[in-house]
Parts: sequence; C-alpha cells; structure tokens
Amino acid sequence: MADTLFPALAETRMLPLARIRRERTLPTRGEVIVSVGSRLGALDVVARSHAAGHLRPVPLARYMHVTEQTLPKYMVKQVGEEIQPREIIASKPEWFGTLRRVYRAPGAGYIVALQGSWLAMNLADAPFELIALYRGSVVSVMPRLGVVIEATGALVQGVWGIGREGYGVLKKLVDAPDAILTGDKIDVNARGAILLAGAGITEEALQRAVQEHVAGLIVGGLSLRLKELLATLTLPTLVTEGLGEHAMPAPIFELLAAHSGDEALINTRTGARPEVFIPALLTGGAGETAVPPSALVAEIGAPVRIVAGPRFGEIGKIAEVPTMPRTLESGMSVWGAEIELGQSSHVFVPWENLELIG
Amino acid sequence: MADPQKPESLLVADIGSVNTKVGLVDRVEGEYRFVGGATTATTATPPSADVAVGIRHAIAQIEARTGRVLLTPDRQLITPERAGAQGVDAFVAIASAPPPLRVAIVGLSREVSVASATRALRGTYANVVATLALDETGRRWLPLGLQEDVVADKAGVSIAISARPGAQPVPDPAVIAAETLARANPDVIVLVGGVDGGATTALYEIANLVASIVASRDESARPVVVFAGNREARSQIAARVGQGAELRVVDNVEPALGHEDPSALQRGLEMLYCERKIAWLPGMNALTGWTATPVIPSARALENVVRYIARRFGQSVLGADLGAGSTTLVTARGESHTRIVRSDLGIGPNLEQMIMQAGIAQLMDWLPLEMDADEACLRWFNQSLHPRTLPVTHDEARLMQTAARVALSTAARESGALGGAFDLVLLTGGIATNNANLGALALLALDALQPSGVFTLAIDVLGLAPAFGALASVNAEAAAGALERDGFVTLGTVIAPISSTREGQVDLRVKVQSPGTGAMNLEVQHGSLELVPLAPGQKASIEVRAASGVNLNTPRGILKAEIEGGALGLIIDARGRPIVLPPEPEKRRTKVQQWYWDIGSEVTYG
Repeated sequence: MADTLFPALAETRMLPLARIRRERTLPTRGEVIVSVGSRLGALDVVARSHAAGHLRPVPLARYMHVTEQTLPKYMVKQVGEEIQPREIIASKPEWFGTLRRVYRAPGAGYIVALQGSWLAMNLADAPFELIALYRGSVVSVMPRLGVVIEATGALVQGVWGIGREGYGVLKKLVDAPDAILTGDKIDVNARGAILLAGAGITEEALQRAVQEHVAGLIVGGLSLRLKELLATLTLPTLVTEGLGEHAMPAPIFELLAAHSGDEALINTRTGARPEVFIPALLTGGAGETAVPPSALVAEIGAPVRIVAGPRFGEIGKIAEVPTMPRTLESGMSVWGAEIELGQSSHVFVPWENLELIG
Repeated sequence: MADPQKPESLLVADIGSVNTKVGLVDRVEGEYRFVGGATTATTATPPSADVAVGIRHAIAQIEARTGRVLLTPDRQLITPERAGAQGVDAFVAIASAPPPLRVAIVGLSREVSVASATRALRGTYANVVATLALDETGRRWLPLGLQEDVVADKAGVSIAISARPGAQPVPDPAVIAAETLARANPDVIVLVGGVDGGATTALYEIANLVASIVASRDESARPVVVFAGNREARSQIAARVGQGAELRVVDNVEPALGHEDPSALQRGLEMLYCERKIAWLPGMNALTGWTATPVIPSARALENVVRYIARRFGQSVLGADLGAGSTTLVTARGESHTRIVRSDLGIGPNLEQMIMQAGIAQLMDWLPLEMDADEACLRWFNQSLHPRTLPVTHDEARLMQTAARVALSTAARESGALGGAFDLVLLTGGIATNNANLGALALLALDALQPSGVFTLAIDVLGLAPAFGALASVNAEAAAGALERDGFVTLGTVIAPISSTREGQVDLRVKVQSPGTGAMNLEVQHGSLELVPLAPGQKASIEVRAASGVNLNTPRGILKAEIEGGALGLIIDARGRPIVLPPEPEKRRTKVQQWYWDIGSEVTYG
C-alpha cells in the first residue's frame, strides 16, 4: 500500500555509521597499483596515469612541405613511439641535401596517430596520482581505470559542492548550527583541517581559511559573492542547504560536531551529491556491525526535509497523506503530505518539495 | 466498431530530466479520454539509477487514484489488458531525461557550412562544445600577418610560425584550434563543408584532422563522426575517417550555395540521441519488454502534436514546451514546420546557467516584486539546486514565472517565432501543469512569445500533451481523441495588434456581441490589457477597428470575426509588439504588476 501512496522522492543521506562503496577513477587510462583486498589509508596512491596528457594534433604534411601521400617516408618516429622534447619526429632533405627540414617534438609524450596530413601526439603533463581518499579496502579493480573502495564511517550529503576533494581533521569552529563563522576563529591551528561552520561564513573568514591552507569547508549556506569567490579558489567546500544564509539542520550539525577532531574527507565529485565522510576508527567488531545503507522508504513517520517554500530547511516526519490534491497560494494544485514539525505543528508540503533524509 | 487489433487502453510516460509523468488513456463512453495521471521524480541518477523505478511509482499512484490494477505483484506492467480492466493494451514513452549530445562542428567556412550545421543542431538535443572552421583564419589556418618561418639550428631546419622572419615563434592557430577540438571531448563530430560537386581538397585536410583526433581516443570512447558535406567527397572521407571511427553519412547541409537543408543532419543527430542517450538511460532495458515502439525524444513528440493540429485544423500553430532541463519551440503551417530545442534553457538545473547567459538585468526587468537582484538570484540558484520544487507562495510563483519568461523569449527570439502571427499558441511543460492561475500562464505566454494578430491561446494543464502525440504510433485515433478532448485547455481568443503608438492613445475600438452577454463596446488604450469574460464554448461576434499606426494584419484595419471563449475569455493585448517596458525600475515593476492584475492573475489561492 505504501507504494501506491508515495511517489519517488529525492534523498539526503545522513548516516552515523554505514559501510559504503565508492569508485575512484583516473581521468584517463593508466595503471592501477593496488589489488582486491588491499587495505588503504586516505592518502595512499591507488592508481596513476603516466601521461594523463593532452592531445596535440599538428598539420605535419604542411609543416614539412610534402603531400600526405609522401609524408610517411619522412617520418623518423612512428605511431606508438615515445618522444622526448625537441626529438626529431620527421625529417626531409632540402636544397639538394644541404639542409634538412625537421619537425621536432614540442614536449615529452608519444605519437598516437598519423592520419593523412595530420600527426597527433599525446604530450605528457605531470604524472597523475589518484589517492584512495576513502580509508578502507579495495573490493574491485577496474583495469587501467581505478578501484572500488569499501569504507566504514559517518556520511553526510550536501546539496552543492565545489573545489574537488579534501582530506584533514574535522574542526568545529562554531557553537551552533545557525552561527556564522568569522575570521577571528581561524588561526594557524586550522591549517590542513576541514572546518565545520554553521549557517554561513564571512568573506574575511574565507580569506583567512585560504591563507591558512585549510583542507575543506562545510557550511549551511553561502552568499553569492562567496560562491563566485570560491569558483576562483581550490578550496573543497560542501554546502548542506543552499545559497544564502541557512542554518545547518541540527541533526547534521550535531553528527558532524560529534566527530570534531576526527579525520574526515570532502568529495564534491561523487557523480551524485557532494559528501562528507568520516572514517570510523575500527576497534573490535565495529567494521562488521556497520552495514550498507538501506534504501530510504517514503512512508508514514519517515523523516523528510523541506527543500523549498517558507519552511525551507526544516526537518520533520510524514504524518498523513491526503487523498486529494491541494491548491497552494502560488496557484499550483499539488499532491503532497502533511508533515509534522515539532510536537504540534503540521504543514502541508507538495511531494516535489520534500526529500527523504536519514 | 472497435478494431480488436488496435490497443484501446494505453499508458503514456514522459521521462523528463527532473520529473516523470505517466498518464492513462482509455475508452470512456466510446471516446478516448485521459483517465488518470501521476508525476514522480525521474530516477535516472543515484541512488535509484533506474528510470523504471520512477515510472513504477507513478503507475502505482495511478492505481491508487483510479482503483485500477496495472502492475503485477512483482511490479511488471500487465499488458495486454486482462479481464476486469487489469493492465493496459500498450505502453509508449517519450524522453528528454538524458543530457544533450556534446557536438563539435568542423567545417570549411564559419559563415556558410559551420553556420548551417549550427542552425541544424538547434533542432535537436545537442550542445555545441566546439567549432572549427578552416577559413576563419583567412589563409588556410594562418591568420593574416603570420607566416611560416624556417629557423636554422644545429640539427637542421625547424619549423615555426612567426609574425615576421626571425621573430619569436607564436603558436600555430591550426594547432590551437585542433587542441581545443580535442579537449572538448565531444560525443559527435559533425564534419561539413563544400557544396555538392565542389572542391574537395580542403575538406580532406580537415577530415585528416578529425581522423587523427578520433584515432587518438580509446576505442570505447571515440566520438561518432557525422559527415554532412559535399557528397562527392564521401568515399574519400570514409577512407580517411571511417577506419578509426563510426562514420555516418547524411545529405549535405549546404548542397548548393545559398541553399540550406538541415533536415538530414537533424534526423541523423536525433537518431544518435535515441541510440546513444535515450537507450542508455539506466533502467531502459526493463521498459523494452513493456513496449513495442521505440522511445522517442520529447521534442519529436511535441513536433508530432503541433504538426497534427496544424494539419487537422488548417491552422498555423506555435507550440512551446518549457521544461526543467530544456525549452522546445515548434511552429507548423500546413506542411512546413520548424523546431528549436535549447538544452541550456529551462527552469531547473540549468537555471543558473541561463541567468549567467541572459544577464540578471533581463530577469529583473520582468520581476513584479520589490526584491533586490541578489535576493532574487539566490532564490533562482536554489531552485536550480532543487529543480523539482514547486512554488508555494505568491512571490515564489512570480519568481518562477519570471525565469520562465526569459527562457521562452530567448528560445523564441532565436527561432524567429518571437512576435510572429499564428492562429493557435500552445504552452506546455512543468510550469503549466496543474497550475490553477491561468491568468499568470496567459501573461507568461504573451510576454515571452509576444504573438501578434488574432489567435487562440491554450495550455496543457495535464503536462502530457507531447506524450499523447507519441500515442499515434500505436493508436492514432486515441492520440487524436486524448489530445483534442483532454490535451489542452483553451484560455481564450487573443487580439494583439502590432503598434508603437503612445501610452494612453486608443489603439482599438472593439465591439463584442454574444448571445449570453449582449453587446459591449470597448476603447482599448495602448499599453493596456483587457479581459472580456466569454465562457468556454461560448461564441461571440467581434468587430475590431484599429487606429492609424496599429496593425492587425487585416484589410483597412477592420476585423470582423466569430470567436470562441475560453477559461479566461477574450484577451485584448494592446501593449504593442514588441512590448516596451518603462526604463525606470519602479515604473517597470508597477507596470508588470498592473498587467498581472489586468489579466486576473492576482487571485488568492490556498
């Protein structure tokens, strides 16, 4: 019966202890250097690509003043061969053999293709090393691409993130979920840490955080100005609520605050929602008691978060499902649910404005 | 008598980028009618990562609302229909959930072949991620003023490109362009150039470049190459490109100078979107057992609907679909039609991108609220973070309608439909679905599309009109029946002259004569919106006399016609075309607010 009443809803995961699996993949194919069963620390390298590289196609026949048909006979290097900076790739005698017209490699890499008049080289950038980020064990290897890691710990998903990924000690710098993090709270002790702010952060505090090389930032909301500023920085940042000043929901703040001092990571490139993960300090059988997160189910009593409208950000429970649609002040005629907020407060919310949380 | 081979009970699903809508169509008292529907989140991404999950949820809700059993206990669709009205005879689906194709265009001429291909791409779900034209640097890749330079060194002679002999080498523009193309990592490379029978040498040069880029990629990640250039070059292009890549050849997008034919390229790209995007939606395999017909793109389905209506009623029709992830405009007159799909315009995930492109000022121009730009931006950006959410309050509704205006008007401007004259204007998409504030929707369509002349305005309150269009592949009668009876709600007849007279001047003198309300004479001033009550189905005779300088596309500026009412009635939009807003922010806001009042949308709900 539950299925007939409840639509599919979006989810925000907030788990004190769960066993999760995450893919870690190289940007381009390379070499995986761990195997199934390997136990990993967060900063352990799991894979590297020697020539993550970038493609450099050049009109070689034109450079060499030859036709595409005759180009191959002047090639010194062939497809698949490695090249070093300024190494000769093609050479052709000119002026009755008194001079040679040569094309030299613009950098290190290898030749990937010679198609008619064009030569394509993959020029190596700095070798790329992929770290585990999630402390755990390898459960699957994707040859030349990456690994799947199983890890146990606390998980909190956000709604928006920027700045890729960061790893460090989680540091609570405000006392309440609706507090604003100010610059005076950030000092040299914040270096390398992931900072837990509340409803927001001041621009001065953000600048201080950058100066102190913090590893990440978790915040309820961000102003437009700071969002633009973050786009120019590489500070991994996770926003739990949205843009503007929004108190972090108390359960999320309390869960994160309870881990202040523990190692944590921010990953804003999960392929789904950005997340904070705090690996569990496994003692005894804790690893075995953690289970993969079960799917959230919409049902009476299920915890939900309101993600739009006047009650934005509030967390409650599904109390009742009306059997007919209702018309909102906006004029929209919608299906939804009565949500219990606190002891005696009920509010009707359209399904579209609800997310399951837990 | 019903055809026993023809499916009579049908489920239609529209898998959008944010919402999945499912509707049940069946025979009711001999006519095909919409029986029930439900909307749920599209579940193409984690944690479900299976579109069938959302569809099943929606079907289960239809079961709950109609009392009809549609799914087996293991949640498979019962098809064909069994005794006791269990299940349905057929299931059809349309989709716009996948991201658009990432397309790079490589051609000979920026102004000709590349421009033609770019226009062709606007007709389908495709984003241009890179363009490369051989002629854009003037001298076969080399910008004017630069020349190849031979630099002597110990090893012989090296090649460089320099501004003058002996000068410091500068990067070769050909290489910069080629690197940009390689970095764009497209799904598809469209190769164009040359008129049929024209020169081919330059085309082979860029084909070599394309081949080198394609061959450099892993086989599993190689883009498809679509050749839409000089047909004489096909065999050579195949020899150069076809060995390392999947090559598809379509008719030349520019077969003769000044003659553009985008249709074959559009069809080719649409096929790729179906094969490479829709078919790969997670969970699509589970649906293939439910339906014998392919899932078609939503834009194609809307085009079918608009063209059907244009043919059926002999009218010129403009159809606008404003979704969360894309905006589609289709026009049809007789057998000719146009279609534009903007996958970067919508009121969902790409709202932020749209604001960046359009500029916040354009949005603020139409916002009838006392709200500063930063606050409005925050609200819009949060909408893009939670793209499913619906406006709850009056102000939230106005914010969403403002964003919708800009998305629609941008698409209309690009398609050439802005300010055009049509017999019928249709609005569909999330914003029109289940929205009781019909006045606000009418104003949205009038402001954004600015259609002119005398036309009927209708909206799709169920949000399923495009999906009904897809029904035609299994039961044309059901498609037509559901569309005509339940697909659209007529808001009314609109009179919208083109004029640039001054505010307060009388643009139109209108005489309305109807059996129900008697005779009514109106003088309509420039800049105003008038609403004359005329119930759905109620007919009236109108006589409209346009003042000097006011154009109604009628002889001597006099229009006599028989019109039909609608949910709003007769709408006289004397704001002129184009609509000009006061330059002062306060006056502008007051004006827009006034129009909301005039059209009757300032109603208390809830």
